[in-house]
Amino acid sequence: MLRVDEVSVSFGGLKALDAVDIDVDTGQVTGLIGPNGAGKTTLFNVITGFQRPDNGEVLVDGRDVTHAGPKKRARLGLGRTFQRLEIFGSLTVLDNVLVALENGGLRGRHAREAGIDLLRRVGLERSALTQADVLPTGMARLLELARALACRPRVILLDEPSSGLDGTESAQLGRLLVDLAGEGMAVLLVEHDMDLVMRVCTRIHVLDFGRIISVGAPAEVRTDPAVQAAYLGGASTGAER
Amino acid sequence: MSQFLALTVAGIATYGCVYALTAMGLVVTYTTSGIFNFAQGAIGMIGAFLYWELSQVHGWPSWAAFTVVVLFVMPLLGAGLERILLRRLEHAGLEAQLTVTIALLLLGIAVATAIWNPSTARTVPPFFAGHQVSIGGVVLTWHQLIIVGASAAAAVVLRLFFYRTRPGIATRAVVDDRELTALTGAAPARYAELGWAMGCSLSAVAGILIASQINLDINNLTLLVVNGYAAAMVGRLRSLPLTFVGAIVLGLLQSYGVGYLPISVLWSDLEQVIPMLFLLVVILVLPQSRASLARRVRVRAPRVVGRRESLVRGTAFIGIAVVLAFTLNAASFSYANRGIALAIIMLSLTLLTGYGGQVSLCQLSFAGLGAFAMSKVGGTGGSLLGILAAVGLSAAVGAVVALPALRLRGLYLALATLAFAQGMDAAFFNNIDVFGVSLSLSVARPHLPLVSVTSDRRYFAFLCIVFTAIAIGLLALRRSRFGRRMLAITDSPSACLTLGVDMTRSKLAIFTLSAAIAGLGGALYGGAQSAVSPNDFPFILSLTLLLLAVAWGIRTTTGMLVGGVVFSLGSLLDAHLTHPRDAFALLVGVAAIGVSQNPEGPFGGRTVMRMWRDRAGRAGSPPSTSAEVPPGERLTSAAG
Repeated sequence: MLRVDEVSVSFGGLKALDAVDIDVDTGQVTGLIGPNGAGKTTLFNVITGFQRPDNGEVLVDGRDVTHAGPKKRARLGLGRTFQRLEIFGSLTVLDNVLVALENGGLRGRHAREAGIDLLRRVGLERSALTQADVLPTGMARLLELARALACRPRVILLDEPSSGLDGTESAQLGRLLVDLAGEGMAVLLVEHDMDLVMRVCTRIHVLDFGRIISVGAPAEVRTDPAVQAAYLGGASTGAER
Repeated sequence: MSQFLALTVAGIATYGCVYALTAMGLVVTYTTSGIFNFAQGAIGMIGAFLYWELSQVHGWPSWAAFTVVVLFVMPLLGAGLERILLRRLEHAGLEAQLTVTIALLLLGIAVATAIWNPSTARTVPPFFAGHQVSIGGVVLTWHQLIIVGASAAAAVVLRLFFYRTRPGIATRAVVDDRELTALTGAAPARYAELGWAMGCSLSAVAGILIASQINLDINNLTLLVVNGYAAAMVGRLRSLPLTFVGAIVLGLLQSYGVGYLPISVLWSDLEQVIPMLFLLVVILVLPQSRASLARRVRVRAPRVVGRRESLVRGTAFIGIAVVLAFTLNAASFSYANRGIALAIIMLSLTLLTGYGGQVSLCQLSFAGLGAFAMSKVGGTGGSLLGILAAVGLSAAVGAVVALPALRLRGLYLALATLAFAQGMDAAFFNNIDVFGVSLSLSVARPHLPLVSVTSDRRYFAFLCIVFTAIAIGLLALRRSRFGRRMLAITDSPSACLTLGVDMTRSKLAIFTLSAAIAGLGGALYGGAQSAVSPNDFPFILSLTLLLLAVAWGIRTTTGMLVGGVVFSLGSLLDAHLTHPRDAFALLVGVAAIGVSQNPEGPFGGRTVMRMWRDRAGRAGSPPSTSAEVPPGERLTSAAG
């Protein structure tokens, strides 16, 4: 569904992404992990059109969207949440979701009912009339997820959605992600909560110093020496890998 | 050839280098504090007046007066402003930052007006008067050589400071990442303070050096230094070399324009029009950064007034207005009618800036267009076609201004609208072909089909009804689908992009509708006074309008009503209070600074009771739960 092909991005002398390849398939939760500064959010920005790559291609359902803007990509079915929260703080929680639903053509009571359903799905229905900027971080992340889902994306990119959630809430989120994949969505998950990643992802890509150092099923990635070195600070460097 | 050489010398030595000095000052303050100093011109003007006071009134030698002003007074002023006022704005929204420096601009003018009577003519003799040199047949005064030398020296010294010294490099690091630099042991606030001290000093040098070339006039001097904005934008507020080049190009353009272009009715004031056109072009062709994931600024939005409440409030206000219409004395109506008409114009700011998050500094220009259309189309009978023309013309011009400006955000949009407003002042409002030889247009009150509103009392009631209708309409718009989208775009353009929201169409609609409201207000404002002149719509009053709107709560319609009436009463204050002169501007400036961080204003719905409740709620439970909806409660949302 989503294919990132040989994408490279440099900021001055720093190579943030170096010939990165990723496939995100329909019906699966695909993980993207890596230490801080590995380039995960930069890759999200490239995929959603906020950052133009120096090289490489981004394809959605076989269609090259490398030069399309974020709005066009959204209309082609790419949804995302942000690492640094981007909620509509002046609006209520329900209104946040309504903006997306109404942009998709729903109106009045139908939009409101759909909005409440989405909020219920992420566990925010009781906060529907709360102004969004007073939500704690964890709930605000769930609101971003609900808002992204309101666009009925075919591919959804989630940037640390469990940050700020407690164990129970994180487990609920995991079940939701598996459900979404089961409904035919392609999910790309950036996450620091390794339990969650290992539990819900079918396939995991590990990024370090802008390069993919490991790809595989959770059990394979977990035992990969290169991954352990990246996380535990092994002697090898990105250049050596 | 000799004319070309003379114009080139004048372009570089008279204007270009002065613009370079002030523009470099702007760049320095911006790069160290992240705040664009709208008051740069006013600060340069005050420096020039202080120099005049010391050298001409107190008889100090020129060098001593120059040294004291440039090396002691202005750096202290800059550092003081940064420490007392601007440091608090580090995490504030752009709206608050713009408001404070615009307030400083107006305050600077007001303070200067209070101290130095504007009707007194003053001149500053050039340095080394009478000394000149001839280079290649072109005569250069020593003063001009000093201007060139000072600007070149400032450029070189600043470049060396920022790239070759540890404090300079640390200053640049502060701009890139303030928090990260602080972690290395550097003190970002110190560098911002230093930047403001240098910026004010450079501005004063520019003011003093240009003062001898023109009359020492508060407004002229302020505006001339304001032209440095355009040069600073060439360097994108970061690059000193590009800023310097931009300043020289602007100086040359201005000099050649005045020398070669035929003086037509449209461009009768080329000296003012060229820098503004230059600024507009530079801003519009500057490559804008792609939608970025900007820092979030927490601005608490006011409570959304429901449909029933807005109708009840509106009806109550009309009731009060009718009572006032019968009880106010005849003399009060001129102020009251102007005030309500201004409040209608200010409602355009509630929509555009309060809801839409776009800062416009040209709303009175749209109002002036409305008054113009009402005068020309409405005729002496006040035909309703005039009102339609006022709305249509201002909306159309608003759309034309908005189209290229749509890709601009924040500061760039504010500067583009400022350039438009200044251009309108020079090319339209002060044009005798538009406003006639007397520079005055009579504007009739609208002729309604069933009831006459020509008397002051009835016109007052009519204006109040129009205000109420627009206010209720705006509140309904705020609660609507369009309103949600409007606030969403203001809060997070990036998130809107990922939802596929068409921001261009929404922004264009907001700008056009806002201009239309301002145009309608302008037509009715003209009717309130029976006539309008260019003095009713100068761009500087657009700034006052914005400050008043912010002071009274730009997101609230009640705030705009009070703001409009206060604006009108300001002229009453100035008429009766001889000392200090321009007392109203002083008050507005101080008030705007005071409340710039409270966009809710006094009418934003946070009553004393509610604030107490909020505080109690925060103390007892986390905010997210205190506002939750109890199970089973019907979800009506803001759209209800």
